[in-house]
Amino acid sequence: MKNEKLMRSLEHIDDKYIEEAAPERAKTIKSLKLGRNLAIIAACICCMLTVLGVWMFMPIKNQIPSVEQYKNSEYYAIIEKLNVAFYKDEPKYKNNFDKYIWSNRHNWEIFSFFSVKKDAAVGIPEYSGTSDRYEEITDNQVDGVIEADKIKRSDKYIFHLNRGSLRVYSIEQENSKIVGKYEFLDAQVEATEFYLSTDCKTATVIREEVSYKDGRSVKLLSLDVSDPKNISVKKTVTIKGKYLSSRYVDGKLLLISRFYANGVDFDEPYTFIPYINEDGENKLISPSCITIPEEITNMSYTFIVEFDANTLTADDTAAYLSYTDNVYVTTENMYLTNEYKKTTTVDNVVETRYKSDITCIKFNGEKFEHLGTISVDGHINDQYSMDEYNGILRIATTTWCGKESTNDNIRVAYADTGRNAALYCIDFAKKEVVSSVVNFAPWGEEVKSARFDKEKAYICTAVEFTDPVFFFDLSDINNITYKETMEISGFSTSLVNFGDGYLLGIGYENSRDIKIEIYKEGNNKVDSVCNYIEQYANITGDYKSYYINREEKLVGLSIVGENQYKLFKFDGYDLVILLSERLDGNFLYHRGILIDDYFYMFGENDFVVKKLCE
Amino acid sequence: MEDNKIVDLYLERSELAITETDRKYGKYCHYIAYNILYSEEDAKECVNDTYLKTWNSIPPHKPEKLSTFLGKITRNTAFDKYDYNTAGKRLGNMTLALEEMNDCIPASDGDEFTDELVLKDIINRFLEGLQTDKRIIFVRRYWYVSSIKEIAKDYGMSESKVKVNLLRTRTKFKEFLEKEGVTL
Repeated sequence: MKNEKLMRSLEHIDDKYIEEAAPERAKTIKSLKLGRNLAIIAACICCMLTVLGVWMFMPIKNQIPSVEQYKNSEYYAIIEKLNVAFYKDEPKYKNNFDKYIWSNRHNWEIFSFFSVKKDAAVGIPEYSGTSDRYEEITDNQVDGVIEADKIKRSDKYIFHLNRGSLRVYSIEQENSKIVGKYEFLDAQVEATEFYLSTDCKTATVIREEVSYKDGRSVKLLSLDVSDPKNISVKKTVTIKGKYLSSRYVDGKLLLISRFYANGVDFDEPYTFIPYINEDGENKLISPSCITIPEEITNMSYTFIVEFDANTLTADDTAAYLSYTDNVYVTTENMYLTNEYKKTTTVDNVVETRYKSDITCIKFNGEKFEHLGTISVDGHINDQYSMDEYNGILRIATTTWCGKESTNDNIRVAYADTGRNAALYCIDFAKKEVVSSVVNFAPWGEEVKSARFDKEKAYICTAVEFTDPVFFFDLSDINNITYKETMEISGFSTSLVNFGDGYLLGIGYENSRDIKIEIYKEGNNKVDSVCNYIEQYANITGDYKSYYINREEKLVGLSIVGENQYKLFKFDGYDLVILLSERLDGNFLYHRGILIDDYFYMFGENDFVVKKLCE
Repeated sequence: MEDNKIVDLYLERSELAITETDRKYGKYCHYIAYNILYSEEDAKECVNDTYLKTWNSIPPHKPEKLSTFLGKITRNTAFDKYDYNTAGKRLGNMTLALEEMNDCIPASDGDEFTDELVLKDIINRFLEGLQTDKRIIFVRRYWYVSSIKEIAKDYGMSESKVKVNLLRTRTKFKEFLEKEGVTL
């Protein structure tokens, strides 16, 4: 039959076709086919992802948009400047991903995990009595300028702030007890520090809140503590931004914070103008209170609010579009510092220096008054590196200078480069640096601590773990002299005038051990009188956590290692341990105070009272 | 064992040649034989006959591709056995494949039958002109006599798609044969 004949004739087909169609090859072909299909699908997906990725991450062109539509806004002048600054270096959004997804992440529920619950007052056993006399126990840097702290007292009570509550203790020596307590139920909000009013009836607690949705906020909680067992909230004020510092001066509470102009939307002034929230109502500050420099280097405001300390009413505000690193406050002036790097090229040499701008704001008049900004070399450590005396601002800085040739083929070693220390005297009335001492430390060293005491200054510099301490004579600022201790092991992170010509240094012996040292100024040099070293220990760098009593030559602090709060007495020869008590909780909350021969020590939750022996 | 070594065994007249052939290609030959004969016994017998014919043909033949050499012998042997065994009966894949092959018979009306060598060339030229997947399906169906179901499963296709594929190829085959003036 023909069909069979035709079938048979297929025997003559080439071997290659027979082999090609062999059954055992089918699996390979099937997987290859599957692989081909998958490859096609994968290629399609890759193409789609590539297109999506290009659209998402293609840089948005840097064209400064017009802001004409806001010309009727009271903030128009500010908007114009911000607009130029914002788009000068980078667009509002880097790309579409930033625009549509990342900038809206705060709306995503998964990021908001902080919830603020209602605070509650907790009842405590009955105690009768009234408090009326304020007793200052914080070792404030400037007389008359009270700094917030975690412990305050009146003649009747001690107020101690820990992470979750403000506690009130009776002052009854070994019979002391808690007589009042206010609990902050939203424990995620850190209670930073507080003030006690001079009539002892109001405690103003400063708390920092962080949430992904709303960013950082400073919360001021005004508490009525006139009756410790019935503490209640008088007022709540919230300021958007990060808490920097505060002071209490003559019934005024000065609050300094940093407001970030993030996610700027000119249709929403709250995104680029600082504001205050009082009892739930947002109030933008007036444009007349805002100062914007000619050259905008960042989008952070330093926001200053002057409150009436009793009513927490904002009496005055000022905002400066400039980043603040440190704050120093006198009874009249506020000094804000801002650090940056400056690079210049002169004669084929590229020179880079640390610089600091110091802005002076007068606040004890009717309104805040900007007195000017002066620039000096170097980095300013903390508030104790600054001091105003007789109208002159003295500043200790760590300087740094780097130099390199513009010719890549030449390597040059330049003198006077690297780290060192400097002391500047600035007259803001004349707006100039009137005198300075530069590069007085060994090269490579940095300022670890500084303290000014009228016509004297004490500056500790170090590189790693050896320090000289310099004693400066500032009686004639046009002829500043100094002497030093020569090399001493370790360095001090806090220097304290301890009275009677003694200087107290609290710091580190090395990376493992802490050290407390007493120095005395001699004729032509400075000597170490005695020291206490504790091995495998650590201390907080928060100066306010130390108890300093110059009259009794006492120093108390919490030492992590043996986890003890220790009270030392300098007897003229040595540092003697008077007390050593274990306290609970985080050592950042530990405090100690001496009242009538009894030393009261507070842990995060517990407290101990001991009588000091003769 | 590699094909050339198995062939060497045949050339050396070693009986290991059969053993190794069975080990490597036994299933392959059985597959071809069973598809045509649709009987286990007949398929085994066919495979044994294949080994005998292979033994007798190597030498003088020295195949380069032992698999296709064996496959052809098996197929022919199976075809012979099919004619002998199934006269009057039509069973399994072979029956269906033969019926389908009717679609390919050219309508040529010549006096002389086309020479086998010429037919071989024509068929190979036809196959060469086919797309690979169509060619594979065609050869699987009409050389290996695999079932539609098996072809569909092996190549990840539906049975209906295989059927349509084969129908179109058969139509083309017929047109090709007619164009070449093939007379069967």
